[in-house]
Amino acid sequence: MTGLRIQAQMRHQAFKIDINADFKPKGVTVILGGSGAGKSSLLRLIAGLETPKKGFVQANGEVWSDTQQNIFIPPQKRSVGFMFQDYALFEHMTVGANIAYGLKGSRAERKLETASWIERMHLNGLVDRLPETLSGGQRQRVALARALAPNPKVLLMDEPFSAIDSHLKTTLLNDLRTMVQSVQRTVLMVTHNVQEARTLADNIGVMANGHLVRLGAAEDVIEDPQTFETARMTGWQNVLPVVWASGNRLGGSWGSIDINCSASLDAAWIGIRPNRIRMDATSGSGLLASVQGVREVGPIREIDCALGDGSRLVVQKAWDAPVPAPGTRVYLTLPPEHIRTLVEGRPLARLLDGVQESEEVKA
Amino acid sequence: MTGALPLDLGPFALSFKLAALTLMVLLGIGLPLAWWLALSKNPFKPVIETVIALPLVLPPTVLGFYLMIVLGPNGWAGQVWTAIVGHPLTFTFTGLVVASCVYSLPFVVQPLQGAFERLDKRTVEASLTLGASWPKTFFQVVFPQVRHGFMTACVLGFAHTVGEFGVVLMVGGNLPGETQVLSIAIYEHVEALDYAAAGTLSMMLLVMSFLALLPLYAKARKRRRLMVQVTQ
Repeated sequence: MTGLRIQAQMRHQAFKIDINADFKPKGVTVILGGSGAGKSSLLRLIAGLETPKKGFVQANGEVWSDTQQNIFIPPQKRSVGFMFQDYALFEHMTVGANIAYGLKGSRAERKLETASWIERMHLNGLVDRLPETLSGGQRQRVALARALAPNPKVLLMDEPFSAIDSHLKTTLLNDLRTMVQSVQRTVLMVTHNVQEARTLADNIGVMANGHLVRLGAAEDVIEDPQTFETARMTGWQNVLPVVWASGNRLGGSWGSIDINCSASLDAAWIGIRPNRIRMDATSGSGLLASVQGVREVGPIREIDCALGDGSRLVVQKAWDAPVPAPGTRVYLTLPPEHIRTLVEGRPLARLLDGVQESEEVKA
Repeated sequence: MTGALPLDLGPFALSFKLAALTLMVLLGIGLPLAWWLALSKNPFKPVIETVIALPLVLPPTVLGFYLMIVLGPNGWAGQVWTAIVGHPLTFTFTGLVVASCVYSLPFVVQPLQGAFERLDKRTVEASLTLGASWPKTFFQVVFPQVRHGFMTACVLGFAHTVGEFGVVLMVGGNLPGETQVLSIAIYEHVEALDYAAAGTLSMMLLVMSFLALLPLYAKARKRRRLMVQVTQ
């Protein structure tokens, strides 16, 4: 079991995608990226719905496509389960027929298999209903059952929560997590939402401008983003540009701070999470800021602060903690152990030597 | 009213045969063509769409004139045909089928193209990733979604062929049993001042056309009602 290996260049409209990745054979890998980062194209490439201009896709050692060897296995023969954004259910078929669509075997076998998926996905009583009569969560489960029923080697999910109301999302995320973890195969999901990634991911990949800029264990990626793009995608709201570095001090027009390692100008930014910043009105140490506003985000309060040069930092406080009124001058302390230095994201190093930089796709 | 003469139903059968054959050929050409037009980003697509739509705006006599020239003994298609079977296409039933296919092409292609354009392409991709072959995908996923467009194409293609006059006259002339279709027979009855026969045939054509179109619109109404129910 080697999981998925991809090294491919492709063109999507005027946009160039260049991906090198080695995805683990088991567990959930969540690909984070903004819109237009090339996330969906990556999934379509794996499923065989798009052809690479150059490169290969291998799954568990099996070649699915290889432009050098002129191999292209069509999607029908790839053993992928693809869960589309908005699900693409067959609206003219019943829930049962949707789930049974990809099943092989005798009628009785398919019926039995469908019934077991109905049970497993908590869709009891809905087998003869048409998809249009279902709720968003039920539709999602039908789509997942349909994709998993033929027992694919790889499960691909394209923004599976984009059609779900936010108040239902937490429950559904947990449901999906249980179901996906029980299937024991390579699972790739793309999303732009860090909450989904945190709940579901064993591994996180980050895509920006058609490149995979980071791929690693979920915890590592979230706690130590390393690149600006990864920090942005994994919820590091506070990012400040670095202009000078000396000793273990870094600074910019916003002021300067200490970090717990020697500073260098390789780091173009520093990042800190909003819950790590300490705020007080009297200490006289740290960065001087003025409170711009306070907003409630679920059980926490976010305080928007402006530094001397206008740069913004967000500070989080518990909902019942006292918060300063807008206009108040406060001092912000950024503990060195919670500061991360960030570099500009570069494409991950190529896995193999097959594809040369000079032969890149012309955009 | 004379009414005594027995009504010759030959033209009626001929029109039916012509329309049925034309429709079969047109579905064979139209389905792949409409599919291609719906999905293609080819820069020449508008040109091809325009050519297909020309029979909608050209006077049938103009179309018939060009077809007569092309299919005739000196036209390229006529010459090819003559080399194969020994006579040109004009004034034959086969010639009428060819001409009708050109004449009715937009009535078959356009509804199909519209239906294919409205088709949710991701359901096709979903079907493929679920391991379904292209035929299974077409019959179980594509066809149910384009069924209404398909029915419209069939009814319009058939009815339009039954109703053609100018093109038939130019290409096929008026040979009883070979090219004398319903509309030509009606015209001939009128010229012979046999209004009773012309009236009977006309009424038959009218009723037939009405009955062919009615289910189409009744179905559309039902679909709209269903849509309203779903969205409410």
